[in-house]
Amino acid sequence: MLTLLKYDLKRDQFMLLGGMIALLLALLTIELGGRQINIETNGIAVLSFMTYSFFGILLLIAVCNSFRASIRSVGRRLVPLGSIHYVGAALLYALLLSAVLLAIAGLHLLYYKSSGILRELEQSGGVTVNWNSSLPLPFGIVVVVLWSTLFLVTMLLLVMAVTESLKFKGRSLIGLVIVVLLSSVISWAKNAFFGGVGVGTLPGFHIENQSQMTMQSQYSSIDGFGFVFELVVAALFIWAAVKLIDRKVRIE
Amino acid sequence: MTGSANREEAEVEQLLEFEAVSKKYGNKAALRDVSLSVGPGRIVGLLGSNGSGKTTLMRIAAGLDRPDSGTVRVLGHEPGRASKALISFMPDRPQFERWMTVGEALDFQRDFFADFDPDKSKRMLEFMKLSRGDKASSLSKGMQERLQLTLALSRRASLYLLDEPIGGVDPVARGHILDALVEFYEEDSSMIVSTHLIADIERIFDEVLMIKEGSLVLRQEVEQLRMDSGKSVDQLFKEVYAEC
Repeated sequence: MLTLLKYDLKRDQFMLLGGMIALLLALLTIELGGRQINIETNGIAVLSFMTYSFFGILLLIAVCNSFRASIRSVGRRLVPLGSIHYVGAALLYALLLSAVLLAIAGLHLLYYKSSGILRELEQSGGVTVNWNSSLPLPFGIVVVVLWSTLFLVTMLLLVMAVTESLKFKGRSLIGLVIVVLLSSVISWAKNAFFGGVGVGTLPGFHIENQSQMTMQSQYSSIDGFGFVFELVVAALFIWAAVKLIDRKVRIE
Repeated sequence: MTGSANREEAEVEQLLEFEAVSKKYGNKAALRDVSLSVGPGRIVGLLGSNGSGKTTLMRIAAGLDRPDSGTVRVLGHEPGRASKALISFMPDRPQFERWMTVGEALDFQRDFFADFDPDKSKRMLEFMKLSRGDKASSLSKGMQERLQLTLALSRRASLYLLDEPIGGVDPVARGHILDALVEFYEEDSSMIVSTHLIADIERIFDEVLMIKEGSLVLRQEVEQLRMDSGKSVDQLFKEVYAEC
């Protein structure tokens, strides 16, 4: 699994390096450029958060592309590894990229804290944190982001395995429909069983408007049965993806 | 095949066994009820025209495709993780990734296969006139075939499956590839080589399997075939596939 990950990283090294440089340039532009054109601190914080979200989406696309390339590649599929290793490598890849993104965001937050911008944001209501979880705040945010990413990635990997098993055109559209369907079913189940806990992708974060965002632990699923539910669903997604890779996915 | 040959075959553990294997792609039958076995220490030619089912047979043996019916065994294992560790398959298209250099493609084999032999790999690189620093996707077709063969034969596998190793390369490169096959083949292993370019390669075969429209139409020792028919394998091939 780790060896597969090593070759995933080697294959994507230039894209990842380019992505990281682009993220840093975007953040610098927002921070420095925002001050030049007198955007409020609240606005700069929301823009930075949106930039992280955008790169989070790119991260998911990178993981999906890497997974798709691996399960279709004749060279990779000839190695004596079970299909679970391809799924595991993709999940580790997602975890690693999310951790790097979080690390950059963490440094950004440290800068905000040390320069007093964070306090200013809290006082002005630009950033509201309602944290009632048993987990300490910084650790809790890391866990919420990493788990939410992993959960979403298991669903996307299953969808990739389904689309790569199909032999007709329009597979991308079908994949999109499956993502919407699965997301809706999961949200409905969470609403029905747990009263709306963890109904979004990153359920704790909300951007209220262009200068206000909130983080509320009660909407995330890191505590209680919501997490167990997601764990079971993720295991089912992985099982189904492995079966499809074994039996149906077309190898080039 | 004679009765004594059958008994001998049963006594020796077979490296590869197909029993009534069939495979369809959509409505097209790629393999029809194919049964065969390959013992150790053999170089077997898998002969057939384009689209006859050679690649499908090899991909099923390599564990890349699943048969619709029938059973496949590689040293007693069903195709999967264990069989992949025993088989070295050279597909008919590049198995290395576009971003890799020759060295990285070899490192990939080394990292995943316990039977990878670094000394053999080094000797093969010299023999094939390949350099570790060359970008694999920038190599010419002939040099890519050499790299593919280097990747496959750098392992000390029980069974080598080579799908069209000389297809699409010029006669000089073809000669070089055939020399490499003979030079680096492990004598206690077996090798199945699929091709429709018989004349160049028939000298190295112990046995040939002819496949036509997904069915195995002939299986015989090359020497016996030549003695019985008074013809070369190439001539016989042209007769069998005359209307294809």
